[in-house]
Amino acid sequence: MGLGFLIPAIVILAAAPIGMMGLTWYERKVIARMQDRFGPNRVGPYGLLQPIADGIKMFTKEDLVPEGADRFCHLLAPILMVVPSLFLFTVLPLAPGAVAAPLATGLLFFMAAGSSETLAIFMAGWGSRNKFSLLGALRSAAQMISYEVPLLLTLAVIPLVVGSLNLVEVVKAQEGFRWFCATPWGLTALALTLIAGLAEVNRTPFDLPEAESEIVAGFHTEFSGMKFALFYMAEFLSTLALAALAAILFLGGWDGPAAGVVPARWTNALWMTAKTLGMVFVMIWIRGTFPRFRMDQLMGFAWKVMVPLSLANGLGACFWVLRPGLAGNVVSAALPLGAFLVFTQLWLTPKPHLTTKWIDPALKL
Amino acid sequence: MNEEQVLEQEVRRHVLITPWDGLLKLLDPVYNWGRRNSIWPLQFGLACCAIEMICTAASRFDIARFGSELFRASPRQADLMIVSGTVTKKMVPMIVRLYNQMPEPKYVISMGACATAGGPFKEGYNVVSGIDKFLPVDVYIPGCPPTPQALLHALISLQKKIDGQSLTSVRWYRKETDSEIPVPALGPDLLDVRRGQEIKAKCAGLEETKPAVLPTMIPAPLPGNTLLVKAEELLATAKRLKLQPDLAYDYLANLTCTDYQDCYEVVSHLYSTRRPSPPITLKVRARKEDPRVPSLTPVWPGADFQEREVWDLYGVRFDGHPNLKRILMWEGFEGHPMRRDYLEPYYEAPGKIFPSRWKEGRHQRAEERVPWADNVKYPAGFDPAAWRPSAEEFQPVASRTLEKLKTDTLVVNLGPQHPSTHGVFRMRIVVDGERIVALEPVMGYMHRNHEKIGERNTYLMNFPYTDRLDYLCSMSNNLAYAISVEKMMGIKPTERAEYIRVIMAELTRILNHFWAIGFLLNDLGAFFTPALYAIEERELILDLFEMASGSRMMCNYLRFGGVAADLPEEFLPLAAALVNGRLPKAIEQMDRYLTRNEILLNRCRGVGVLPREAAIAYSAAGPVLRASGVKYDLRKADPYSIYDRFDFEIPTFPDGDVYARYRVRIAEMWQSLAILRQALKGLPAGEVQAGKKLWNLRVPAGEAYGRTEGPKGELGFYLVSDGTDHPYRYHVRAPSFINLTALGLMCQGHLVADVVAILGSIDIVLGETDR
Amino acid sequence: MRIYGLELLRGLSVTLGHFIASYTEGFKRTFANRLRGQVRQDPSERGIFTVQYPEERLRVPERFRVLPVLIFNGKEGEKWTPAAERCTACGICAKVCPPQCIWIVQAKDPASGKPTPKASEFFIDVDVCMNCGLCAEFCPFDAIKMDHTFELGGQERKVSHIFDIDKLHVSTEYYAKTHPKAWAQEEEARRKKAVK
Repeated sequence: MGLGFLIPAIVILAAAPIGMMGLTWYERKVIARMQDRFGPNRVGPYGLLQPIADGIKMFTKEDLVPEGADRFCHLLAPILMVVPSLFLFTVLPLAPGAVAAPLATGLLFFMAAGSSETLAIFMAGWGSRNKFSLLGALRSAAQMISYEVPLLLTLAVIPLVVGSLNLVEVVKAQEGFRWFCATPWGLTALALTLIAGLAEVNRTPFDLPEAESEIVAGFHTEFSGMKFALFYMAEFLSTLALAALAAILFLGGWDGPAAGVVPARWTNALWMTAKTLGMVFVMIWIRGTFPRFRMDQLMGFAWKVMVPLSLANGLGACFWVLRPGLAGNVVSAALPLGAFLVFTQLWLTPKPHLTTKWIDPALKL
Repeated sequence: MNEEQVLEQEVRRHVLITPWDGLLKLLDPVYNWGRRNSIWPLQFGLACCAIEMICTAASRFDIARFGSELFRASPRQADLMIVSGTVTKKMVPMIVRLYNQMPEPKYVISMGACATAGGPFKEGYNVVSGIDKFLPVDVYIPGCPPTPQALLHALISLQKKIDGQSLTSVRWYRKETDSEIPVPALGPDLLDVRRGQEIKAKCAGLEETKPAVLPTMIPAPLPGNTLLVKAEELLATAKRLKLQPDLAYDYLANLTCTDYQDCYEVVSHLYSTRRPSPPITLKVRARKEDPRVPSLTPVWPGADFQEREVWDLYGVRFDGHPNLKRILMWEGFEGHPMRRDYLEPYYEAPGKIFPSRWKEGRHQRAEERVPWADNVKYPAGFDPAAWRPSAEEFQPVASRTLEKLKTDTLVVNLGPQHPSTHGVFRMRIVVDGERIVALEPVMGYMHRNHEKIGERNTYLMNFPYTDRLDYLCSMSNNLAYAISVEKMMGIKPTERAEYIRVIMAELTRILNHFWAIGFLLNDLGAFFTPALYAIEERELILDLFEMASGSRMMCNYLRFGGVAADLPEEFLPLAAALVNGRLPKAIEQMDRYLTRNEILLNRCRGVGVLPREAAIAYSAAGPVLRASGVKYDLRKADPYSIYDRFDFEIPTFPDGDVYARYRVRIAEMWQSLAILRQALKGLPAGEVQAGKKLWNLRVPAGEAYGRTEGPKGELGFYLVSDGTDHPYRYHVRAPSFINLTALGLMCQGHLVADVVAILGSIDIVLGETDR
Repeated sequence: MRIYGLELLRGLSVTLGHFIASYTEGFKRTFANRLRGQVRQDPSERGIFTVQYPEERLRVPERFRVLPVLIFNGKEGEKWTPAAERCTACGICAKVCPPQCIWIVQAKDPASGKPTPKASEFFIDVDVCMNCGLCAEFCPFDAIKMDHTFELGGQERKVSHIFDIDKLHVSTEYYAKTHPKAWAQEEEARRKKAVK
């Protein structure tokens, strides 16, 4: 076996924090530009050294553990949150042959590692000894679990079409510009993956558990210094991994026109990076634009709209695969569209108006 | 051995110099660089200065360039506490608690005159003379309020200070640093627990002091349309006034009290929304010993908070009030501060001008004048060690509502430090699962004793203080005050001044509604983007205000009989460009972006419904009233200034929910633009001041209640004059305060997440709510 | 029947518009000739709205008021003298100040002990001043005016926030530079009065 696994491991461990720091910079600049301002631009050219300053600052902050808190849980929670998000990168291929672990069950591994973050969130809420942190953690856990269902149902079309869970195979199946997002089921699946993914990483419009305008507690309220930095890192790493996954599954991964000058693998890596950053841009764009859902609306959206839609989409993908030809294509396009129209109307049906009953007390005098 | 060698030996004996110190010196630049470029402030703002702090984080000044845009809500993740606004005694325990929760290394910037040493409100009985009495401050910024550029300059100063620090010498790595600052307690007055022994010793030898001179007045002859009734007949008269169809006085605009020499007079101003009848002033008098009158809440529920305020500040009991507790001061506070014989700790003279300032005016801080060296006073014989804080009472939840719910209820506190409560406002909510069963607003955290200071001021001096009531809309506050006093004086402003006043008032309305919508969306979670678009437009309007009056926010622009100075020549082209070009585009953009946004609709439709009859009965005003379907706007119902010359409509919506209030504000912005276009076109030439501008004017004896339609609702000033240059009674009818009466009703049955949206839709400002 | 999501897309287009405009307008500005250091934004501009303090400063209008200053007739760099002083210690500014932050000691003739129309000591407590400008508005001698300096942040307050008569005085040359219109008006009024 040898130490062959060390090199990719070191590469991931070194590149992931740099990627995360770059992502924080990218997010702050994009949101700033949407808001007609510059964002960080004093710390280094174009603000590129800003994340490093943030990192140094967080490293040197005092670590406060609330009195009576479970110290072990408090210490372990951020670690348990970050490590799985590092695992996510092991199965993502950057270029042909540049993948740390070309598992045959790559997609399944990815989803499993992503799901284990729920436990870390619960530990964080429990370890804070703050009833509102606990409430926030429970909400967050409930949200993550309920959005995993549509996510998995959506991603089920990939092994259906490709015949393998290996992410390298998935990209190879799209080579030559036959990207899955050009198909009706692929486009729907991309949109669903994006939405469910936003909920998985607790970003707007699904960031209620972290919401700062609610009961001022997310699960990470009582964490300071390096522990908070790890939570922050985990969120951004998950975002990056999810964007990369969406790029791999639906946007063709490393597929793209090659420039003759440089080796093909480099352009492939460049294409992969560009697509990932494009997906991240969409996620940031959504964050900068929309208000957030309320908890019950969030759950309602997951169960009442997304699950039926992903099931219909799966059926549509079946038609696409098993009945190639115009009829099959039309049906596979009509199914998700129809499901979308029907279920959003059902979900949006306004509830009976809650007129507050009020009687003038002066009449009772 | 020579001197140097002796010295070296001493140094080596007491100071361990190792290579370790040298190594630390190398780390210093990195350590400092990281800290100074990543200063994350706490989402914490008190009053007017907090608005300038938010503007610093907005697009025009962009504190994000320095790396500081991440305002963290949790103190555990923040580095910098910017104390922006007046520190009141009621608020200071929370501030100290928050500071204690912040991890080291942490910094404090004291922004503005109030946070530095008490500012213009220093003489008030509820104001702390500077936050550095409790917290160590790194940078002070003078100004009232300091502009955003001044705050950025202070941030740069803080960065320079951090650059000069060293790992070996910073405060938090020393052993002797106290880990926590003891939290002050709220006893008969603010109690700094570190001075417990000293207080006990001083109180043992205290005697009760009586004021030397007390202004006196007996009630003036009753003006027209006034009913003076006996306490026994009050309820019957009130019921008849409200329910008799040909009277129908269904709207209680204002309720307050005046302390006369021989009685306490509780006065209510009543209007009718259904019939254009003249207003009625209802007065009832209570004796000085154990004053009691019947409560008007059974007839007009909107009297609730106002009667509590009278109990708090005057000590008049209201029989039949459902929840008679203090509302602005805390339970346990000693005394009823608005009484004429209550002297605040920094009391100097019954009225300004203080004789110590001129001819022989040697500077002396107020702290140096008083025996406590601080803005506190304690009763004789007070022992801090034996004192126990009284348990906070809470309005009991009616047992009826809990019968069918066999679950446990939870009491949740929202605020007073809260990223979205628009200032320091607290709500105590009883939740059952996620649904709200009862809600009680708790205020007073920004009670700056505006009315007591107003009685000590002359009439002219009150103008800059009115700026700081609703600190977003200073021009409208000036206008309401000017109209009330001009009513008593019987003077009319010049034509040009009237037009300028209307222009400024309508620009203020647009500015306020932009801010309200932006921050409603912020409460709903839209990560600041709509708020920032709104603040951009506001900044351009503030350019106009700064040009004309000299200050962005605290304009102090109106005077009795006109305005302070004529418009500069750059004003009109910029105003025309804004009104005809930029603002319509901006409102249209907001509309396009938000009005039919599905997430917004989901969050706001059907939430926080205020039924029509309840809105009138609870004395709601402004957009809150009009969003419940009541077409009542003072610019048309009770016209003031020259509003009767302009052609505009009153938008109303029937639903009464959060979405309706949002739509009303957008519609009102369009109407304001229409008024502005007409006013700018019709602006005549001429003088801007009727007669000579006097600084020591006297107002003839009498009383008046002047009301205007401010952007948040009916802003009224009730003034009683005894013929001198000081008001005898100066009361502000604050729309934010009274609109909150209906908050409990609006929130029933909703989720906690909705409370924030409902509060945002009422659009309150704490300077006005607590005064 | 309303299609869910269309308005959301419209909202996205608004923010994307701002994002793109921030770059396109930015390019236009780098190639246009924009005055550096004297920024005041035009309402017709789109794109980035930021004024990058401290490299760029927003130009303040003439009436902008921060803290009061006393005027003496002279040039910049000179020290004030009682002869050049305009203040007559009439006390109106101290009387009209709403928070009463002005303390004035009227000078006395050293020989006779009689009060002279000069101020020997003048204090302003900057931590109480509310920047309202009433003192400048009602001074009959144009002796106290509102200054534009706002960069006042410091690490100490007990001593440095009490402005005494030396710190408060500025020359008429400085005043004419910062308030050209007001200076011109006042000089005109002075000339007219001298003629009468």
